[in-house]
Amino acid sequence: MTHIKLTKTEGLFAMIRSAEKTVDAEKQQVLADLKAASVETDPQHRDAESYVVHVDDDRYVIDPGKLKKDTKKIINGLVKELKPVQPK
Amino acid sequence: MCNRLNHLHCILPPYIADKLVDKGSEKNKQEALENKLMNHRLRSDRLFLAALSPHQQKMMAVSPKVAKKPKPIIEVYSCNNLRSLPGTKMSKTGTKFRDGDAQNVYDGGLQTWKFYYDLFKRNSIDDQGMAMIHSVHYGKRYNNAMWNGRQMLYGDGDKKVFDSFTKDIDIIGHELTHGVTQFTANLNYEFQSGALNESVSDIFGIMIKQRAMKLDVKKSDWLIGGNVMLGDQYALRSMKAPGTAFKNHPQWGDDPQPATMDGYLKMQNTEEDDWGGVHFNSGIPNFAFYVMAYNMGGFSWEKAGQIWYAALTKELTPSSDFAAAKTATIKQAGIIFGKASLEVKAVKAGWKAAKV
Repeated sequence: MTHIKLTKTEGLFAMIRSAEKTVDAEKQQVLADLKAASVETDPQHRDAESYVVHVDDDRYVIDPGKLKKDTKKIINGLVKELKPVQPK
Repeated sequence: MCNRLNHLHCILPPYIADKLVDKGSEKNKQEALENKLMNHRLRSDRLFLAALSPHQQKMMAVSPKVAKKPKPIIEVYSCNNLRSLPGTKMSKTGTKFRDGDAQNVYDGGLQTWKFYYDLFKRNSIDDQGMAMIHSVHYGKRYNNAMWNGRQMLYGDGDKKVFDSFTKDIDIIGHELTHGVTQFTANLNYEFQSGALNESVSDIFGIMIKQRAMKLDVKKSDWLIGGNVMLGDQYALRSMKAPGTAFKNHPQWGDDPQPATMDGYLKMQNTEEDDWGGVHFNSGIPNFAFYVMAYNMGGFSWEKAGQIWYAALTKELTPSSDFAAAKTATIKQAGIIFGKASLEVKAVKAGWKAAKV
């Protein structure tokens, strides 16, 4: 079981969305896939297609287009469940 | 040195170019390789430029074309829904384009150039006559617009939440002002200096819109992105009342921007926390500017704009925070209008209203 949290922050404006769930997938495989899909992002001109993924204490900024099939399915599922986060 | 510089890498998602290099026809592979080379050069240029002082940036003035006499050089390209920059140059008859988005960015770019030159004798983004390059139709349903260090690019929007990002002159002015900030105060894009960077872009973006539409401080709606965000009741930000630009939005919920320091959001310096909330806490100096401009009355660019431009170009530094902006604007208001002037009082009232 692997707990995954997906966060999306949009450029240009103040909007953060997040979704998380525990999935029946091997953690090491998920981490390897996320690492392979990692991208570097520019803070001032952040890419509209990148997402931040937390798996426990590990953090990746990924491009979903670079994910392998199984992990892509998990991430795409989370993308559909993104909900606004009100920062505190 | 700003630690953000370490992250200045990605302009285009590399996977698109990689796919073309790996799987395209021979012609596509060649084009893709050329694009990758161009992108690599762009990234290298930005890293190099970002590491320079504002004075050194002026000296370098990366200007594809430089006008001898101050006049705007505005070039418009279409990416044709791809991600290659700058794309195909778009033709015009006189100043008229057949493409509506091209016309929007041309007009917005011209208004922005006129704003800075007419009011401050600033010759383009770098004050060296830098060509203003705009690329429209960037990507497919791309929800963003940006200044990438050398040029502007605009997405068409997904047409569900966002319309074309060329539809608001304040957004065009906002993004081009990031370029002006880059060549002047070069505010670090994190925490308060980052929020100030965002706010400066909103402040000049709204003034560019107000001047183009001849709106005084009372007639302006003080909204950023009112046309880009679909739905008459929604905008990206409200400078008059931060936190009210959208409410119960089906995808975005409520506008979370604070208007005053007691609502300041202490966020982390990570991408998922908006680099310390730069798009969130910008509501505070935005509100301060609204109050001071409103108290001065008339057209915002005639007094408040003069003060903020002087502060941006003469006082602020990469690490300036809200308190530094307060000190800088009060000082410049005193220099321009006199220490006992109503303008100084208005500036102080603005910062007081924002509880800075």
